[in-house]
Amino acid sequence: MQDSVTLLDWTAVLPALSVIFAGLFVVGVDLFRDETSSRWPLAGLSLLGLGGAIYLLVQRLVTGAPTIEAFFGAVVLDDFAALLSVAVLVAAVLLILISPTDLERRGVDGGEYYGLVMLCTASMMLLVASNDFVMVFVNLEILSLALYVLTGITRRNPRSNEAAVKYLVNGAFATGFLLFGMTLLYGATGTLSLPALGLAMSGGMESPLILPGVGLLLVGLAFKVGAAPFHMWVPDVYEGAPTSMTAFMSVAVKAAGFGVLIRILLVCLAARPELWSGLFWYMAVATMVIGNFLALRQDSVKRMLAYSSIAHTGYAMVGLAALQSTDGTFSVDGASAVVFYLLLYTVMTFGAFTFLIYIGREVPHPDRDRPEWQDGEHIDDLAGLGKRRPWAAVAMTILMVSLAGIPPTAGFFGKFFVFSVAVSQGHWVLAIIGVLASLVSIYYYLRPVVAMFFQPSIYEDDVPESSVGLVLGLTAAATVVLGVVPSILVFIAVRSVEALG
Amino acid sequence: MADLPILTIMTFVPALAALLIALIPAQFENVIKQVALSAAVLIAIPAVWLFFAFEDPAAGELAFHESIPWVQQFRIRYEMGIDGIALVMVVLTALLTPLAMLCSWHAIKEQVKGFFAAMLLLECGMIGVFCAADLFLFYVFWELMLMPMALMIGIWGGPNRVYAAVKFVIYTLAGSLLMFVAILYSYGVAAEAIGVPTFNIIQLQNTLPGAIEADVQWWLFAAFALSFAIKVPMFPFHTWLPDAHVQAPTAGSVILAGVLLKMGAYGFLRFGIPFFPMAAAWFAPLFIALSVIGILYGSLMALAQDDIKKLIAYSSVAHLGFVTLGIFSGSVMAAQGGVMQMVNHGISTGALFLLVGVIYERTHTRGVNDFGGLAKTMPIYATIFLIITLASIGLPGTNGFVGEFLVLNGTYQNHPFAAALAGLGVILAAGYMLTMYRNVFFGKVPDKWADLKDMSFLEGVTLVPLVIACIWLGVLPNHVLHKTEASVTQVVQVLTVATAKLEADRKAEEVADAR
Repeated sequence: MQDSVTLLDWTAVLPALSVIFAGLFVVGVDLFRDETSSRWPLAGLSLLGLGGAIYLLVQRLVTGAPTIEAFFGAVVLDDFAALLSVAVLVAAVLLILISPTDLERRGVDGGEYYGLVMLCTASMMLLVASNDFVMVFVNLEILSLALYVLTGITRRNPRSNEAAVKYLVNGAFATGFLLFGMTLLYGATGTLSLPALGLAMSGGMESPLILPGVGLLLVGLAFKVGAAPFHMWVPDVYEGAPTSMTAFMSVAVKAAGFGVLIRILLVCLAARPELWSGLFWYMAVATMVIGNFLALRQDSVKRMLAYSSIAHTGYAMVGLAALQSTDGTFSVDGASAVVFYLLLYTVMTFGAFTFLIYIGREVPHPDRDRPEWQDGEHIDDLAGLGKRRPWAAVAMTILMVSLAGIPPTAGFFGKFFVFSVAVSQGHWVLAIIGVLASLVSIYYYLRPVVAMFFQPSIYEDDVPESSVGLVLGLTAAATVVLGVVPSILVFIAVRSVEALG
Repeated sequence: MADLPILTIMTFVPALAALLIALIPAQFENVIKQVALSAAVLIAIPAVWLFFAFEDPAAGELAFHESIPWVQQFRIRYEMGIDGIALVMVVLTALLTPLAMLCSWHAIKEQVKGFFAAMLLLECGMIGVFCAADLFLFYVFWELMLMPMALMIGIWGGPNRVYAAVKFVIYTLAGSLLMFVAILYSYGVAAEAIGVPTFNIIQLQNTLPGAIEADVQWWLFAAFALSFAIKVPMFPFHTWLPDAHVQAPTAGSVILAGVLLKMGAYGFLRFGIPFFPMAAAWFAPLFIALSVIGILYGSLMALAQDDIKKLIAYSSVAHLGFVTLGIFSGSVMAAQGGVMQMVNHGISTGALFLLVGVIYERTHTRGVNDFGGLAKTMPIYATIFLIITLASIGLPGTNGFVGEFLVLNGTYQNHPFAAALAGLGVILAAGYMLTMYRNVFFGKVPDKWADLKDMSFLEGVTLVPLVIACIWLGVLPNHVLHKTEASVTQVVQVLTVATAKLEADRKAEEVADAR
């Protein structure tokens, strides 16, 4: 074991540092900015920091650089961390691209917003690279705190405030579980480091604290990724938060949350799959069923997408349940499938929420003279868009088809990967439940398509062009491209998980 | 020309044309129509060449085979190749699509751009389904057709189009998603049996029957069969069809009846029976029963219909009953008749929908009793309608006769009772078709339709090829039958062997029980 911090340690966190410093710099620049001027310079600086991080990480992934363990084993930069960091960074880039228009419409100042987004992104990157319970906890808290504020960033909007408070209370509750689980595991093994814990577990360590410890830990993480029965906060928070934040939350937090979950499962708990794989089986079923069935009755597309994100958590959980096959053997294929799924999910869900921002319009505010910006939300807001905005409607259709898992889109390939691993591990019952649940989902994913193409317009106002349309187009195009040529991403996903196993 | 990847070209030229159309501004409607039609005709020409150039491949191989890796990790390959059955279906698709476009030339007035783009994407999916030689690729094309067809019904359809479109999507997906799980399971089994995972259809055909136990086969076949039975559609999974047909625009109905319905039967021949022969043999009596019920039920429902389109939709249920009856009867003759009937139904029912479209364009009604005496005002129309009607009934000299005769004759050898009941369907067909014809074309002309114009040149162009095809195949059916003989024989043999084995097992069990 090394006894001092070297330059190598800093290279492991260099991508995260690039994001953090860019964020701080933006906050500094904001002090000298005229309040009415464009927010694009701030966005540009942020993009620079994110771009630097993406460059560093993609270069790692392409060249296959060796794993770096840094800061006495607390942080580990391996392919797994790099890949999920890229997913988070992509979500952040998309968010920043729509932010100047979005912030101006909502009347939110720039500086603190960009600072918080960058901080949140950096902590997610460090979270998926955490190799130690203290790091896991600290990063989870930083990202949560940043998100609580960002959820309530539209200060004058009561819904936004309500969502922030709900998120805070529920999040704090989940953190309690998580921390208690960590404490119990520490009590049982005397270590906080994930690999050391894994060694203790595989060494046949027996303690009455392990089962409750693992259980509470997983409950805490299930809260964060929004798995049933710990999903209650998701629809309310997603619906209340500004849509751009919802988009970011639903994809980045999920990628980071599943990232740390997979790392804990594979690094610490791989030796004892019987402790948790059954739990994931039931959670997967509950999450898929609850998410899909509750989404059916939503007239608000935003809330529908929130339930749909719960359902997709369920599909990902199928992969986690399939880590242990029905005859008891352990295989990491399920985790590769989940990682792959998360990457696709990031693109398509972000796109779907972006569409709601894209079709937003100004509505008169009862108390103020200035009309207020409102994102598209109700299903009626979509009516007739097939005629008014054919390209956007086609993009949304592609995203809906992909979320429903119909080929030739990325979503289909993700489902294929997850369910084929499940079947090959003997979990065909789970696969059938999953497929039937996604049959239910067809109905609610069709509703926006039906509204856009089959119904006459209710509102006639013109949708202004902006960078939001660009992001929408990018995500829709990526969804098709990844559906047609998924091999590279599959390859990287499989390799990244092998680094853990 | 032999080295060109002809199947790929035929599949993806429509997709490229759809992309091109997407880039043309919407106000250039004529340009859009012309691009779409040129692409469809461009596909029809090599399709005809394909038909004459096709020679039976050696057993276990496919003609015009292409293969490149697609997703290495899962050994998914981009593989195209056709056998005799697929060939006939590809040609039918390629020839019907331009006709469907022609009939939409004036009929589609709104969102012309979207319509023709959807049509081309649909053609890409349909040809791809028949050409795919990799099960995964097949599934991708199978589902690719879904959205364009649903949009076609939902945007350009009749008053109740949203309901029909959603019902169509949900019914189709309910079947195909369960098939998807069965595909995954078969893939896993084959990977274990062969040593490397594969989706290659020929390899799966060779491996799966021996690698899966009979009781597991049962479930897998059930999953595949559900998907195909919904698509055919077989009784009692047919309820989406009348809705979809009645609401769809003419071109949609033509494609739906002409090509999409054939995919279920094609699936049985290419996947269901060869993959899981034991289960297919076990299920065969049930499917024969359902086919006969479908024939009788469809015919009786057709008798009671007031709407011409609905009448034709129910007659489709009956006609496709003949197809599945032939496939599951276990005789080569009947199965050949079934395939022939697939082609016939595509031609004659496609033509009937086109004909209904012609009159609907003029009068905006399709009620059988709203018309009368049209033979006087529209003599050419009446003549063509009569020829097609007779073909649909199965009059000797037309294609319908060949198909139904082969099916009934072949079925009679194994299942005389089923053949006798199905024979009733032929009589009923004459009943409902001729009644409809009489009501529409003879009698007194209602005053409001006194000056209806006869068919235009364009409408003639869309229908004459189909009339020629009806008579051509009625007189020289061997042109098609020769092409499909080898492939059909293979499938029937597999089924016959499995049936014999099933009987032997049953007898052995009875003997064991007796002891």
